[in-house]
Amino acid sequence: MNLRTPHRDAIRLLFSIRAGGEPVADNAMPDVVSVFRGEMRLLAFDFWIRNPDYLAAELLDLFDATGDATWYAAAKSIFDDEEPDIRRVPMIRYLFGAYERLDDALSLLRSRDLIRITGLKTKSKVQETDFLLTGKGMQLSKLCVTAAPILMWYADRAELVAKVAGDRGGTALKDRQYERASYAETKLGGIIPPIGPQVRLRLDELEERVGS
Amino acid sequence: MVKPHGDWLEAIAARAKVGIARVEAVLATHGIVPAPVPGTPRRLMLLEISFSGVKDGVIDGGPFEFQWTGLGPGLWGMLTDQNLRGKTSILEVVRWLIRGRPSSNLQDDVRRWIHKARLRFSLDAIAHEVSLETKDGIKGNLICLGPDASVAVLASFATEREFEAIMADFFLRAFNMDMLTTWRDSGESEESGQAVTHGWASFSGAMFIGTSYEVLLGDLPVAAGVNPRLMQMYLGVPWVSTLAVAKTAQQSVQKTAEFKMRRSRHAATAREARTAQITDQLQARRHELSRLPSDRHLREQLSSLTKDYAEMKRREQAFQQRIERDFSARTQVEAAYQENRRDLQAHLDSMAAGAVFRMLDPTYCPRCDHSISESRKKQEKATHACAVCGESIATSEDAEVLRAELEERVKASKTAYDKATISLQAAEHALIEAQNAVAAIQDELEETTSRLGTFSRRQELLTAIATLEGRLEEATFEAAPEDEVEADELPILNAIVDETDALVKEHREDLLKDVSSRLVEFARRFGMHSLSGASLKGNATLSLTKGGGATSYSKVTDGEKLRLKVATVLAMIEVAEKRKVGRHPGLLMIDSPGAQEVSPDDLDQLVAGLESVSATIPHIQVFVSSRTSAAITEHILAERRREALHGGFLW
Repeated sequence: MNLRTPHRDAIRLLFSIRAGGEPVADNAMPDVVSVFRGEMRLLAFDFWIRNPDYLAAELLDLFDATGDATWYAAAKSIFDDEEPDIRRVPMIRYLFGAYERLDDALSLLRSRDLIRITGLKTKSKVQETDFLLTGKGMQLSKLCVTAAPILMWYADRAELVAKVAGDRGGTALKDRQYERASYAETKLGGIIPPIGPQVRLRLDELEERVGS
Repeated sequence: MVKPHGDWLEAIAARAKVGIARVEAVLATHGIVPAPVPGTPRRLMLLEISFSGVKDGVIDGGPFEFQWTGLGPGLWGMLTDQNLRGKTSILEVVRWLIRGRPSSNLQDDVRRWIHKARLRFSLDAIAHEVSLETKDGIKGNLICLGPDASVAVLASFATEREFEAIMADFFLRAFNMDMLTTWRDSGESEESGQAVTHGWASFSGAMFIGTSYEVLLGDLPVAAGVNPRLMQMYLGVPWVSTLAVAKTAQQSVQKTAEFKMRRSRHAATAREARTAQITDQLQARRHELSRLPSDRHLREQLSSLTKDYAEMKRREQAFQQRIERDFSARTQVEAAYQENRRDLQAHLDSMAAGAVFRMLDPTYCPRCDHSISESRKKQEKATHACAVCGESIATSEDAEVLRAELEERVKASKTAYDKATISLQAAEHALIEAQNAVAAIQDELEETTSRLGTFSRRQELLTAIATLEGRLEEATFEAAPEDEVEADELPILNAIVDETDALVKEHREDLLKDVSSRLVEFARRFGMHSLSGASLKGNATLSLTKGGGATSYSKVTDGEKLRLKVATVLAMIEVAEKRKVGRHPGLLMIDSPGAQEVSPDDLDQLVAGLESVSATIPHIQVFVSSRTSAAITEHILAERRREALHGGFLW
């Protein structure tokens, strides 16, 4: 039984596009609210959402770097909610990082005119793909959390990932994720392994520091 | 009067209730020979006494020679007016030559002075002569002088021992005497004593009366126990020697038996003491052993513990394996649980996402971006066929079924996970318990093994007990009494003694009665006028009635004793002569009593009496040595006396 439906993937992507987009005020496109730049970046966002353990590791890195306890608290809640076990959606690694064709999910969003896909093109190849969030898309994203509160998690998670990613581009994010030793060790074409146990250990070690 | 020998044997056999053959065997074993014939008198008379030699170390030193010939029956005297003038020496020389051995009364210097000595005597009228020389040891011979002056050498001797043996043999045969054996207790309690044989040297004492008046007859002390026998023999009582030998054998056997019994009693006492000692030791060891834990018990315990240990170890391993299995199972179940939860979450999210999307109708075709026509939308509502692709649109009903199923799965895998956890925890708990049990058994094993240390002590005790038991058996073993076969020997000897004693008494009492009355007669003649009665007993004691009162030989004065001694011998000689039963040779030599013990009056009366007696008993020969006195010279004719007056010497 394939429990994976494109709708969930679509919702996840919709929230990523919303959270990671830049506001747009273009009179030529009055119904576009914001733009999310780069397919690589969107894949990096999706990777962190689908692999909460990797995100937690990144959060702890940030905590290490900044000493900001909110990063730690976020990481802790991920484990407290058993997200690495429950929320994990395995993905295939391809060439330069986590990669999965998002066409099905994106087409769901596109068919409802929730997003529009555009970008810079050369003669032979697309240089950069941008994702535009329409007013309708924004409206649906708001409707989601009231009509189906269970989907609130995606909204919140996308916001957290956007905060973690900051203004880093897709390549930088991909490299960042690539640094994870176990991630790097993953065989080409293999499923990216969970690193939950290692991160959990690290979390526990840090707990004293935070508690004090 | 003489009982036949056969009667004696039969009487003994009947008394002891055994066969005659057995009696004869016992008689032979102990050398008991029947002696039923009474002694018949034979007469010994001195004919000549002579000796010579050289005196030295004295005033009258130089060669000397003493010769006294022409002797015959009657009273003879050796007289000096001072003491130490050779009277006793003459008697002692005679005694030496008769006995074949000098008595202790012969002074050493006198013995040395004498170089030659000779005694001629007649035995029932046949003349004999014994002569010796002392130069270069002793040598000499005993000859028999025939009526035609012929000479027959009966025996020669070259040593003192030979001399004594020859004289003893000659006279014992001559007088038909047997040696007397008496029993002498040794005084030592551990020893049984020994038999002592008395021969001629003792018997001849009856012919010499010295200056000791302790015993009535002879010169042996009372302690020697020989006096009653000596008297009976001189009385001529038959069976005396038989009785003596039998009594000695009886005493010997009895003492030996007593000694053996005493020894066996000692042995029994020692055995009892030893048995008690060993028993004590044995008890102590057994007690100690009983206090030691049984080795068998310990070993059983150890064996059981070892089994328990192996069993518990096996269980420990089983639990470890179970933990591994449970852990692996739980890991798998956990994975399934997580997967089910993940699936449920995915489904719930998908349902929600699907629902959201269903709120929106497709506006544009995702493929070509053209807007969806109203007709397609209507068709979708009617047919549930997608307005974009025409596929059937799944109802939310299916999703709900799937959701329920997923929730069921989560629940099931959760239950399985909890169960696996509980099982794992139980296994872990059981493992800890098993490990504790193993440790406890190990401790107990070590403790029990250390208690096995008492094993060596236990072995020691067991060995000691076995040894003691062996010793106890050995100690309680009673050796079979020896000489069981000879058990009837003593009863037989008792019978022999009793029968023989009866025979002796039968003959003796008559004789004693005669002798007793005659000796009163003689004693009165010797001046004991107050003596009215005497009774000589079989045990050689003499009871007296003197001055109307009862007394005995041992209680009267020495002067009276001397007279009683002489009177007894004379009475025996006279009775023997009358009844032709008796063994006294008829010779009597009386040494001079010292002035202190016996008064001159006593001696005078004795000599006077002797003179009259020698007239009534013609064949007796009596020699008296004495201090010269008027009374004596009055009774002894001058030619019958050798006299040294004015301090002179007899030789």
